[in-house]
Amino acid sequence: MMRQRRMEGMVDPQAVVALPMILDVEVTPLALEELFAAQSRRLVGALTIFTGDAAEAEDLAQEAFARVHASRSRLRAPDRSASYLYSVAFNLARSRWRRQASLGRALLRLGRNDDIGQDVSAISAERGNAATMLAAVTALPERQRACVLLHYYSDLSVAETASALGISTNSVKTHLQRGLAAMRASLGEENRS
Amino acid sequence: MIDLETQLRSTFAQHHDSVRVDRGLLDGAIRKGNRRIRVRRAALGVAAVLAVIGSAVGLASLEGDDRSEVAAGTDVGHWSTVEATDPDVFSGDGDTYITAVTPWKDQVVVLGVRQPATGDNTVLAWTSDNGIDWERHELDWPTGCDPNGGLVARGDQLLVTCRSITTIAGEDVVSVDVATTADLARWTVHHVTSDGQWFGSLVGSGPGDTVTVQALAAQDPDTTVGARTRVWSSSDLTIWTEMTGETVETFLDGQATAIRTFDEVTIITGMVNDWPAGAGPDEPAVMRPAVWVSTAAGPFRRTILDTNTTASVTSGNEAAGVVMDVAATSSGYVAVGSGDGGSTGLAWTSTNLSDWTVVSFGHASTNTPAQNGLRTIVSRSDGTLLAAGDGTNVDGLTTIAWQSTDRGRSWRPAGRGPSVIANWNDRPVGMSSLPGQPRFWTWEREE
Repeated sequence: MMRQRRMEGMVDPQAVVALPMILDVEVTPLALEELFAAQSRRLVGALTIFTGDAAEAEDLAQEAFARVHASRSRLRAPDRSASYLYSVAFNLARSRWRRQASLGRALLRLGRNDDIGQDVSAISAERGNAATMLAAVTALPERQRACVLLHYYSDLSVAETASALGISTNSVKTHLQRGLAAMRASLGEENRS
Repeated sequence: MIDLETQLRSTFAQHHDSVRVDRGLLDGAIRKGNRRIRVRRAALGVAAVLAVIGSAVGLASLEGDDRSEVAAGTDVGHWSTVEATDPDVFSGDGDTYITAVTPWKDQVVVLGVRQPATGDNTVLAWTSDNGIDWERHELDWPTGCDPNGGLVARGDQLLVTCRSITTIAGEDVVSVDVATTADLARWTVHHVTSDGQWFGSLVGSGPGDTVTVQALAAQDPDTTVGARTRVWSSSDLTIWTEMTGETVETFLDGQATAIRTFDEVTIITGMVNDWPAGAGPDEPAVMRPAVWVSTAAGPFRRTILDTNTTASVTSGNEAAGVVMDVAATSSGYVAVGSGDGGSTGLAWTSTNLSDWTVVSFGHASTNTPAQNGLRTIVSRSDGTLLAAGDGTNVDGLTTIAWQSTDRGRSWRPAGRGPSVIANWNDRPVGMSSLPGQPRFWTWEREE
């Protein structure tokens, strides 16, 4: 009989020592690990486009995971934990002053700084389709941008998107319609079609 | 022409494929979340107490020397930092969380976990025979061993607990082990048990030359609900004898925080998770502070301690609490921990290990440092008791130091001090680690 010895990793010391936390210390991280595995890349990616800043996106994502971890009861309902994660992350992102500066940085990253304020359709002539599409998303008003990212990037349903943003499903549908319409306009799709 | 929604999904899929998220992001989130839990659970009680005190006497700054702000009486002593010969001996990237300070041979040994931003935690040890000249040891820490499960000096050996998984015929078998070292370089693992699913474990010394190991056994590897504390002792680290409880209820839903032995008396401190009848999976347990006492290796008897004090301000969770450590005095025993849902520091005194009287910390002071988070207590031969920990006040994380000269019946702040303490040849010493780099402290009696 083969015996292969495997040891477990080290426990986070603060998780163990913190007085009221002894109760669930080895239970919750498992759920958090699963949530992280399933959502971290989608969350960071969506936040990167939303804020236009990858480092900012990682900060926001880490803060969102921290808050989910601190609110452990959320993790006991896996079907709702993703919505809660995005809700925290996007509320944080929206509430920060950095958005405007980040938008500028996003356009800078896509091209020159004189792109800022330039019609997105003008960018498409010189760059790839993907960059143009992302620029069009970035240029959407905040709520429309959030709805588009949560629904199309993070694959949240309309109901989950509504829950994450704290708005009704009808509002989500409206923002999605308006967002897509604005993108069509900016990409010149309506003219082409 | 491809419709916009399809293009959008395709673009997002490409973008998603390019996203890389480092594991360190999650480790950092867990650390942040843990701190937030402590702050949140403490904030209500501390803020309320401070509000009452502040309205009565004015709230003094928590910066500076707290000793000058004690309401009445004189301090018996104070903590002072000791500058190391090598000022960088404790420094390094990230926070270092001190887990244990233990006299060992003719030295004192400090165990800590360094937490850099990358999330690659490492376990370090420092040794000194005078508190000034320190040697840092980059440990080849045995995988699976827990730097939080106690650090026991036994002759020339140091002991820690471990939890390992052995795969036998495709099945994982979780075991509890003890690792020993005589030089902080080479470790030997001694098997204790593998009969069950295990959560955290603790190690303590005694009675006599024996070693006591506690572990939390659960039927379900994903939850501590219905878990049972089990305790073993051994004099040779090879043959382990399981210690019993007086009744089947004695160890049910109990979780331990420390194992201490005073002559023939072994005391395990901790708490009992008390789930309300019919509670659903989302409902939290009420953590009731508890001690388990065994005399002369006899069956353990569990006592759930009172948390009710005369405090007029509470968080509404008065019954919840935990005992973190216990010390012996000339006339009995004093335990320390927290109550009121983790918001208030508490001490309990007993002369017979059956009846315990609860004492609340600090409410009479004009300036109340953080009260929650008490981790350790030591007793000096002159009867002075010192308690320490790290907790929260309005400024966030801070260290806590209290002292008592009447066998734990009343307490006063001991100024700034360490968060983990030990009695080194009747000389209280300790380490602080939060926030910033660790510092070594020694307690001096006022002349």
